Amino acid sequence: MQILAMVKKEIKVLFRNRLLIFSNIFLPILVIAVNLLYASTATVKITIGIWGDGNTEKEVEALMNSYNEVVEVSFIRYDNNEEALEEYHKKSTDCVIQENGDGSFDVYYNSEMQKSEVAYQYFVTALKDINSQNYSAETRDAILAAQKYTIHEVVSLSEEKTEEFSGYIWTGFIWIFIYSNLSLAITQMQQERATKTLLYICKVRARWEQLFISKMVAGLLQFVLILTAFIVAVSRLNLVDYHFYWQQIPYWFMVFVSIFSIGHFLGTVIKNSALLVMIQMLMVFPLMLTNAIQTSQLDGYMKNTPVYCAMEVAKSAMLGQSPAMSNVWICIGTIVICYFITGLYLSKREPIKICKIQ
Amino acid sequence: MIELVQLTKRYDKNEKLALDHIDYFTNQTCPLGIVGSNGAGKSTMFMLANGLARPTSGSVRLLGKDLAENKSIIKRTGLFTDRLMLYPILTVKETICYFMGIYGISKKEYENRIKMFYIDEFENSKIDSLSTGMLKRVMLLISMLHMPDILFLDEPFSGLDMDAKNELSEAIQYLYREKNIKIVISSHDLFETQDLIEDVMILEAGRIIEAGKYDDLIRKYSKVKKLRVVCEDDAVILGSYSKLVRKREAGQMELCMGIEELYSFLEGVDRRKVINIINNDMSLGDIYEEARKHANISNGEKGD
Repeated sequence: MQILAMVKKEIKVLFRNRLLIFSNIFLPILVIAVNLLYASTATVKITIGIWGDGNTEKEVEALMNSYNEVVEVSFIRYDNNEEALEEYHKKSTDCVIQENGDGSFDVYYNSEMQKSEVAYQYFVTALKDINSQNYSAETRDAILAAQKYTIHEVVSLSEEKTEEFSGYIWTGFIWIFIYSNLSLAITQMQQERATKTLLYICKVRARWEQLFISKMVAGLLQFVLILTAFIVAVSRLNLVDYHFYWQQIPYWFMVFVSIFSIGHFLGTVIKNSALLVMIQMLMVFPLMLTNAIQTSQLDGYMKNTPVYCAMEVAKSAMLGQSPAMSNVWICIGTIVICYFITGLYLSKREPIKICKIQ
Repeated sequence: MIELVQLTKRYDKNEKLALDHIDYFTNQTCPLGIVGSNGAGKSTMFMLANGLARPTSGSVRLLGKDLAENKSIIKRTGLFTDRLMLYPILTVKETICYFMGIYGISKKEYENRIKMFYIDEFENSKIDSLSTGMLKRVMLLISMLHMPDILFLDEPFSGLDMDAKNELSEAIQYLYREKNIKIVISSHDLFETQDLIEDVMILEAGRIIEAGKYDDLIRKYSKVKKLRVVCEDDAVILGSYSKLVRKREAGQMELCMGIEELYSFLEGVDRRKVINIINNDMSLGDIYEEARKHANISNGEKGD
C-alpha cells in the first residue's frame, strides 16, 4: 500500500511537469500521428544499381516502375560489378542487380537492411510477373522479348550489419539513456528533500527500497516513452535502420537501473545543486564527445567509469550484439554499491541533516 | 507520557548548543505550550521527540518507552511543521491520499478525515493555489492522519490572519477535546496559544527557565504585577514608582503593580487624579516576560 501510494505520487509529479509532458506525451503522440500519416500516403524510394552484358535492363526497369504505387524505384547503371558494389557500400543504392545475358540475374542485397530487403522482394515479384506474362499493356510495349527470367545467385551482404550508427544519433541515445535518467533521479531526491516529505517518510519508517522503486517506476515510464519516440522518429526519417532484439530489453533495463542508482546516490548525498549539475555534465558530455567524434584519449579516460560501461552495454544491445561481460558486471556492481551506500546513508544520518533543517 | 532526561543537543560539530541538559516530565494529557524566543530550542526539541534528530546526550521517553530503544514509538506521535512544503502541483486530495498511503491508512477513511477540518471545501484545489490558512489546515490534517497519541505542533499560527488563527485554533481544540490527542504546541503567538494550553514550558537558550501549570504560573507572577493604575501625569511624585510606569502619554500615565505596592501607592497619591484601577489578568506573554526577568534575560537577548 505504501509503495502504491508512492508510485502514484511519483507518476503524478512527473507528468504534471509541463516540460516533461511535452517530451513524454505530446512528442510520442506527435511521432505516432506523423507516422500514421506518413504510412498511408508516402511512397518508399529505393534505388537499384544495375549492370550487365545483356539487353534486358530496360525491360526490368519498365516492369518494376509499372508495378507498385507505393514504391518509387530509380536505377543507376554501372559499367562493372566492382563499381556497382562500391556504390552500394557508399549507400548510393539499396541493392545491386547483375544481368548475366542469359535471362538470369545475380542479386546483391542485405536482408538486415529494410530498404535493401524491399528492393529485393520487389525485384523477385517483378520477375514472377514477367514470367507469368501478367503485366500491363504499357509494360508489354516496353518489353521487346518475353522470356523466362531466373535469379541465378543471391549474394547476401549481411556482413554489412555491423555498421555503426552515426555519432549524432548516439548523442541522442546518450541523452535518453544517461542524461535524462540521471537528471530525473537526481531531481527526484532533491525534490523529496526540498519539500521535506522525506522527513515524513523517515517518520513512518517506510522502507528505502520502496522509495527508490516507486521513483524508478515513474522514471521507467518516462524512459520507455522517450526512447520509443526517438527510435520511431529516427527510423521514420531513415537516420537509422533499427531492429528490435529481445535481448535489448534486459540489457536496457539494467542500464536504466544502473544510471538511476547513480542519480539517486548523488541526489541523496550531495546537497549542493550547482555541484550536482556540474557532476552531471562531467559524466555526460565527455561520453557524448567520445561517440560523436574520434577521441581515443578521452575514451581511455572514460572507459572505466560506470556511465561509459552502461552506455557500451546499451550500444551493444542496440546493435544486436552481446555486451562485454566486464561492462555488465560494472553495471551490476554500480547498482549494488550505489543503493547500498544510499540506503546506509539514509538509515544512519539524522533526517534533519538529510533535509537540511539544521 | 513525555519525559526528557538530561536531553542535550549540539549542532555544527558540537559548537552550537541547542538544548542544554533538559529535564522534564509530564504524565498529563492536557495541552502543553512551549514558549521561547527564536533559537531557544523549541524546534530541536520537537525533532528529537519525533526521532528526526538524535540527542548528543540524554534521552527522550514517550508513552513510557525510550525512543532510542523503541524507534517504532515515533509512529505514535505526529508532527506539524511549517517546514513541510508539499508538492505544489498536486491537489489537496492527492496530497492527503499520498500521506494516507504512506501511513498505511485505508482510502475509505478519506472522507471522514477531510471533514474534520472542512478540507472537503477545497479538496480539488492545487496546493500552490491555497491560502496560508487552508495550507495549515491541510498540514495539520497530514500530521494527525494516523491519530497519534501525542501531536507536536511547531509554530502553527505563523503567517496567519486572525480568522485563520481562530479556525486553526478550533481545529486544535477539537483534536484534544474530541480525539484525546496530547497536544504539544510551540508558538511565538502567545495570545493565541494561551487559550489552548494548560501546561507551560518556557525555554531560553536551550534551557527550561520555567515550567508548570498555566494557572499556577498566573498565580505565581500575579503577585508581582497584576494591577494597572491609570492616573493623571501629576498625580504623584514618582520617585521609587518610576520603575512601575508602563506608558506615559496625553497627560496620563499607566503604572503596573502588585497589590502590596498599590496600598502604599494610594497613600501618597492625590486620589482625585486616579482615573482607573484595572485588574490586569496575567497573559502568557506577561508570564513569559516575568520568567525571563527572573532568569535575568533582557528583551534584546536571544537564545542561541
